[in-house]
Amino acid sequence: MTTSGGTAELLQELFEESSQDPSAAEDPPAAEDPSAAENGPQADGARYDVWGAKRNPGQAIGEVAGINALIWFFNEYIRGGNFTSVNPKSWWFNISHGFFYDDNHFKTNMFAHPYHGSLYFNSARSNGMSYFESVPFAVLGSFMWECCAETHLPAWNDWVMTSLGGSSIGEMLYRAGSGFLDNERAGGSRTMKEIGNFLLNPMRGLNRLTSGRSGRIYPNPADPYDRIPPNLSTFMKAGIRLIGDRSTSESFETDTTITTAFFEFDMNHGNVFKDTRRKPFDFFTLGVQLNFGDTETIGRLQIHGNLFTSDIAKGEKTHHVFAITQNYDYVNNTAIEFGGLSYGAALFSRFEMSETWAFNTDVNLHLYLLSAVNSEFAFVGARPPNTERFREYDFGMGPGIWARFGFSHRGRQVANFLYRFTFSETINGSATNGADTHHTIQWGGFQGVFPIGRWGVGADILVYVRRSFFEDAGFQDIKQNVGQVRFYGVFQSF
Amino acid sequence: MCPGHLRLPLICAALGLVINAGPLLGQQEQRNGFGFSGSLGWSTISGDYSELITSGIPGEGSIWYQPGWWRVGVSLHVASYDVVEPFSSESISQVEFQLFGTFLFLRGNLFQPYAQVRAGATRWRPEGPIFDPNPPPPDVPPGENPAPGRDGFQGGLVIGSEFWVTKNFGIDVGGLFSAFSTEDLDVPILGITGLSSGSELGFRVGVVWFP
Repeated sequence: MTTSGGTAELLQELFEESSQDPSAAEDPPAAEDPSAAENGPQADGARYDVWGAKRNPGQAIGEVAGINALIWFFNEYIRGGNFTSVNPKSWWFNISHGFFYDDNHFKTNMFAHPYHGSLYFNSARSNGMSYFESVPFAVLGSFMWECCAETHLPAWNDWVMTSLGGSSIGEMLYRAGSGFLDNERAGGSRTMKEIGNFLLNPMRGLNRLTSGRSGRIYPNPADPYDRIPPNLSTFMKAGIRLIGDRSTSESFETDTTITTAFFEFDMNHGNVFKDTRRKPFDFFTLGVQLNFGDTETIGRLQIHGNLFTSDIAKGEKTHHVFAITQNYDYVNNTAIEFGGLSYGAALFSRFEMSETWAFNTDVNLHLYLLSAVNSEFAFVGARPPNTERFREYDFGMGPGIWARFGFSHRGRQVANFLYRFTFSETINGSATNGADTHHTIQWGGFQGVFPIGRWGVGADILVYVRRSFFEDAGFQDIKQNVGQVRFYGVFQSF
Repeated sequence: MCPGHLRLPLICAALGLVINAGPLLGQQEQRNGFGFSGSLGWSTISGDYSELITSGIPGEGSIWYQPGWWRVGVSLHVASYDVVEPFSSESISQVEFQLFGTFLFLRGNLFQPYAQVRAGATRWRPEGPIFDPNPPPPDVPPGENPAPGRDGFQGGLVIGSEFWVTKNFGIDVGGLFSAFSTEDLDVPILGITGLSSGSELGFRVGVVWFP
């Protein structure tokens, strides 16, 4: 491992597939090592995944229960929560009274719970199970928590976001961790990679540690898609952003503007046109934005992954790909609270204009199983019996669509346009006594980047318009306009 | 009920049936390794705490390791006990973290009688309006419990038997006794002060699983 060089070299070193040549490992890999087979039975009769993890659903269940016990222990003994006196009576009460919508903070419901679910998911994923096999563990782990680890009534929103949002975050973390890991390395660099993976994905790190795989030298997965996909690209952006918020109704108007620094990390895990393997989440996009000085530091987390991908048409200059996608969205800043979990049908198209220029489109029609949108009157609706705060956002369901159009030069996006529309029919929050409440949310934006080698400078503008319609006579419809402008430097590490 | 002079022979016959059930019903593989168990039950309280609570429904989950005749593990035991009149609609919760060792008298049988000794930390958790301090303590944020739990320790014994339905899955039935000691618990609304010890007697029915 190099010890000098800048950020580029360091990141390259951490992620890079530097040990394609097995001779780079200090010890030759054992021929009978389980990772040599893809899910095939081994001499001990067990099955192993490509990373050498033994398929062990029983251990995964134990870990899921252990996660819940640990978090319950924290709430009971350290936090001193008033919702921890669980016992068979509270279990039965929760099961027999069914599900509700809770009043937790937006960040708790739409970010913390999905992260919690990612731990369940990765308990299974790192015990030798596939993406689809791991999802039920997140579903059951969340149900176990809702029914049996707190005395609050179970919440539908928690179950959806913990299990399905958790599988989005969980698979993203699993794939990102795979990029860190290198079974063929030894010494300090190996330790750093294992620690990096542990921080990203604690359950996988724990299972590698307890199984001894974190210290053993053995071959990496043979297929690069299981580790660092051939068409991976990552971007880091840092700069300043100005965000202005104006909300208006017949009787009031608010107007605020703030300026903050931001850092953004974007990843295209694969290339939907070039990838030759198309398992779930072989292709996904990740966007993380940190806003320093805003109401929340984690201002955005979006994970859009392909569950099913297939070519529709492939010509000399054009390529059309169809995909079923799972979309996790979380946007939380001074002006906007928007999040949810949706499934969509996507059409990716690519038109090669010349040897160096291409025009790409991505149209995604999706349905939110659950969405959450900031709303001025969210507190009036039905609340759980143990309500402790007024919620400031509505839960809803509804369809949405986004369309992205972009020009790329030598494979790098230089100009992008985005339009996105979401319809959210309120199912809990502003809606009272059967009155209809819904929100329409529109996003429009343009982004331009001028690349200079791996570096570049860029700017973008984003407009967010929320229209909230309240059938209740006492409430006035509201229009919220938010504008954001950003200026930044870009670094492409892959 | 059988006549008194027949009771002992009948008990002996029943024990003999249990002990010899393996050969009668077929041997099971002698499995070792990690396993899980869970149970529900019923128990009554004696001692100081019987002034406040009567009977309860405990639930328990355990993870254990069995290298041979012994099984060692940890369990989380939670229970809800009904409060005495006139507050019988209220309840008080119990939480116990236990370390246990189980000796299996027979292995590889369909019936596996065992004896389990266990000890650990206990917490009795008053939660609800009759237990809340009056006046309420200042600065208790929403979501936190104004009435702290009473911590202590406990130890106990479980005698029971497992019936292995399949190679990996069995039914567990046992009777349990345990004694506990805690910090003092006062419930002014009932005129009760200084509750600090007690014992539980009950039974449990559950499942055992070698994954």
